Amino acid sequence: MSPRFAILIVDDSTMMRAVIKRAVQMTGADVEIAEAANGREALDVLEARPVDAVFTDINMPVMSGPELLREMTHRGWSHIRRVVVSTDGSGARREEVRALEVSLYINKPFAPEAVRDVLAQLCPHPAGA
Amino acid sequence: MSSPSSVHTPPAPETAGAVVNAVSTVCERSFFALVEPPGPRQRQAVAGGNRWYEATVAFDGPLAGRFCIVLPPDLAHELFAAFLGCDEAQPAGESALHDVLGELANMACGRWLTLIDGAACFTLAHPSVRSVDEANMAGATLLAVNEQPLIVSLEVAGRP
Repeated sequence: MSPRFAILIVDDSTMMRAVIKRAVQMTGADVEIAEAANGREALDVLEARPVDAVFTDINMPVMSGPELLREMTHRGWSHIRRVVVSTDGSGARREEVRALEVSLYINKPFAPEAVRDVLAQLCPHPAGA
Repeated sequence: MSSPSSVHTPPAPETAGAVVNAVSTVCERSFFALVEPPGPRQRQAVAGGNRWYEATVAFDGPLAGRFCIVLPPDLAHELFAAFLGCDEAQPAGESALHDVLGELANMACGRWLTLIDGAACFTLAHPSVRSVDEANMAGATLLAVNEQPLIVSLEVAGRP
């Protein structure tokens, strides 16, 4: 049996993490979900367990999303897919994170379909397939 | 707040009803709430004594300032339940409620900044949420959200 696809949701809002988690679960994908409240906590999770994709906010206390992404590159974790989930949809911000190996971007506020579409690109065979 | 070093000239923050557009989009998309122009009922509610929640986000970039949303507790609880898809009859904890109201202000502010200056990068501070006894309407925009009042005010550095 192949291991489940694992994602890490990084957002300083507990409630926003719950909403993203619910949107992921609504897709029916067989996904294992871990959570972190900032970039520093995310690094601890990434050290401790295998993760296939990180969904991260940008503005967070302690360690921001871009700082987390830079550190992931520094530690050689370029194989982990990177998704930014942010209120900041500006062209300048998208350029900034694209340079940090971010392939997918979800703008807040988002519909659950946005999460489903991103997940479909990351994990082509969901729903316990 | 730092002053911008580039020659980028930001547009006036009040252009094209961007504030109303931003708040409406967030309320409708994330909170499944109906946003309409205010009527006598909302104006009366603001004038009367009440307890309010005030959620504020400070932003910095080509424009710097504060984006603030004020709303009554009933609406706050309604939006909380809609955001999380939970039963409204179940009372929200104060900390969880503050978290959701902070996200409301955060998303509306981010959306507004993207609308008024989509080319620029802004930094948003962690939202702060508190209870207040009075809703300050000076220079603010009043909206009807699910038929209840919601007030949006802006403080932009260097602008009256």
